[in-house]
Amino acid sequence: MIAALFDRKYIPIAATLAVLILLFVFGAVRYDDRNFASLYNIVGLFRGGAVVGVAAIGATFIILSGGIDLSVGSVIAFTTIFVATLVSPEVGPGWHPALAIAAALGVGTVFGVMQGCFIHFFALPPFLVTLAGMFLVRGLAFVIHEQSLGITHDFYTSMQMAGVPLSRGVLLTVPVMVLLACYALAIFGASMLKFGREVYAVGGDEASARLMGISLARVKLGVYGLGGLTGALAGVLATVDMGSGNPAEFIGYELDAIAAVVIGGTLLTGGVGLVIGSLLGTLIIGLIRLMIDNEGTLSTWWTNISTGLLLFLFILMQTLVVKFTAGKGRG
Amino acid sequence: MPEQVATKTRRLPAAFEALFWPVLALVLLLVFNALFTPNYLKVEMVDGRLSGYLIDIFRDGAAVMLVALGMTLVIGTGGVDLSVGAIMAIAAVLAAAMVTPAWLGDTLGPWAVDAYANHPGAWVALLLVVSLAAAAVVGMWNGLLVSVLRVQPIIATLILMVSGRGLAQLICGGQIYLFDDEPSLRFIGQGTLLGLPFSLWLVAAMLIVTALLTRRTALGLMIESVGDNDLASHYAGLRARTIKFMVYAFSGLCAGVAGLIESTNVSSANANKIGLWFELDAIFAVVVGGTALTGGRFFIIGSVVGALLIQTLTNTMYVYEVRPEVALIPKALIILAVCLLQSAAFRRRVVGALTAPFKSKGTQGNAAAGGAG
Repeated sequence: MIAALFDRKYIPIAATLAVLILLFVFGAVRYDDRNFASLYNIVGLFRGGAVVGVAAIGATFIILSGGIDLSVGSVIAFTTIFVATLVSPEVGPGWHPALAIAAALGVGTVFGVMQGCFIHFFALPPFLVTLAGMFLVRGLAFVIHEQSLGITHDFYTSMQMAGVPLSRGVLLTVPVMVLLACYALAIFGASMLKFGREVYAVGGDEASARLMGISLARVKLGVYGLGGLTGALAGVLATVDMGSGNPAEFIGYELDAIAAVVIGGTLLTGGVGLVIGSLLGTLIIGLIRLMIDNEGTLSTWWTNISTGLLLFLFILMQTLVVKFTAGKGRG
Repeated sequence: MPEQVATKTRRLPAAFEALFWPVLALVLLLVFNALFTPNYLKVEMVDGRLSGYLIDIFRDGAAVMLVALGMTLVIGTGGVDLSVGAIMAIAAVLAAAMVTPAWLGDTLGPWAVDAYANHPGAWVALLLVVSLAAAAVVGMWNGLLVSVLRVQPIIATLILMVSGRGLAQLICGGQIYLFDDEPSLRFIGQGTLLGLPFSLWLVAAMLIVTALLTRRTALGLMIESVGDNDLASHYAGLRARTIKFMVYAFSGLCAGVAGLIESTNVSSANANKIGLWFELDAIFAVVVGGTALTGGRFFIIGSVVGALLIQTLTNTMYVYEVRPEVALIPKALIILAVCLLQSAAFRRRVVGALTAPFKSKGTQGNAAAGGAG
């Protein structure tokens, strides 16, 4: 049991966890007067990270399989405006939100599977397909509705108000519960299900995986389909959060999702990593943004710069770790 | 590989084949426009400058051609540069900020305001050097990540695609600075030289210099060699890392010039708008022009034709008042279609299946693939 904790597989995740804790302690000391280490802030991290966190699940599987998805920011934006338009009785058909959400999840999944088809069957580079997908879906979002559209429906109001009260004024909201449930499912899927093991195998060595009899089509279509599904789900959570849809929002979220995955210790070359790491990565990104907010003097554009810097630092760390551990034992 | 024996004798036809489809698409698009838009092909002299829809394509397409030029070399080495749009914004914002006395006073101090007021000519020259150097340095950062740290090009440049725009906003403090008081800078994007847009001369000069450097020296061959197999190139004695580093720096420089053209053309530098969604246009131009995304072969003239094609498409959609965001849809679809036609797997699977009943041998997919487009 103790030996398992020192398994090489857990070194990156331990590093991520250490960074998260250190950052939090640093924030707690530096912003002590503002009650930084409150339960409210901790739950706030999960609330703020729900959209990126859920999107990062799909990104994790895609990166584990050796691919990349640049379309997720557009998929989120598309989903928000898609749901908002379907629910709206003025500009849309006025569907019940539950129906609209189901439709959005379906569309997202189909879109993801289509990207997977282009990548697998026609051997196109994943970045190109998903880059084209990013622009295509962004354009489609603007076709649906050109600007922000509010969602007013009792179902949404109750979803926004619902939650499990943890203490006074602190509510475990629906998006946070969805986030946690998704991670529980994804961790189970990655480690226990055949599909999860196949994703690792394909990401580790595609040729050997194929020779072992693993269906590459199933894995590739599966991971990109999952990416589309989680992207759409992230979009749904965003509508709950914002109470509206907007085709122009969520530019650059693909980097956030990828950054969360990489900071979580998943290797960009595929085959190595843990799903839980992406949740930790999401929390680290959120924590840094919270600290930027608390700093006050730093402006919003620091969030973009800090995500990039953080991603860079972790890639640097990964490169060094891979360099030093290469040749020692497996992989 | 058996094809390699044939390449030498078929060199000209191969280039012709690569250019054939983009040129045909361009001609078809122009014919379509000529039929449905009045005076589309008319070029006339107004106030000593040529004007007309066709000239607009060249003027508006100057920035895309430049970015595509840098992108061609990057893709030739097997990489890709997603940060070109952000680099354009950085160069543009830096240039605009440096002719804004308020920014100069706040950021550099009163000496800079005086220097600009007393020696405007020298100051403009300085800011051109500074902003282009900044663009090149940002490109070098990409090159460093790719060549030394061996980060995948997509990720290395994605970092800057997002952070770079943040950097541009940091420079200008979220403000939008204007070029209104500096006609010499506006000349870059709006000026006319010998009847043609000045930006076009700039692009032509950079194109010719790059084409000569890559095709009249061994540089182009080295880039293709690195793109084909960087390890083998390294063992063959090429400085594969240096070459990769340089193409990213060059791509940054090209994007910097494009950013200056784009921003001075509209007389303002908005960090959120300059170069937004430019990376798709540039990749489109390069891929349509016959440069394979797998690297190992690049084709500058093809990229220029590709850039003109995408700009003609964009301008056509302007004519029909399509929103720029919506215009992304046909662009994305066309680039996917072109890549499909270039994909051997697609030809084998789809074209092969379609033509199987008619042919005894499935190796004739080339002509059939074109026919499907």
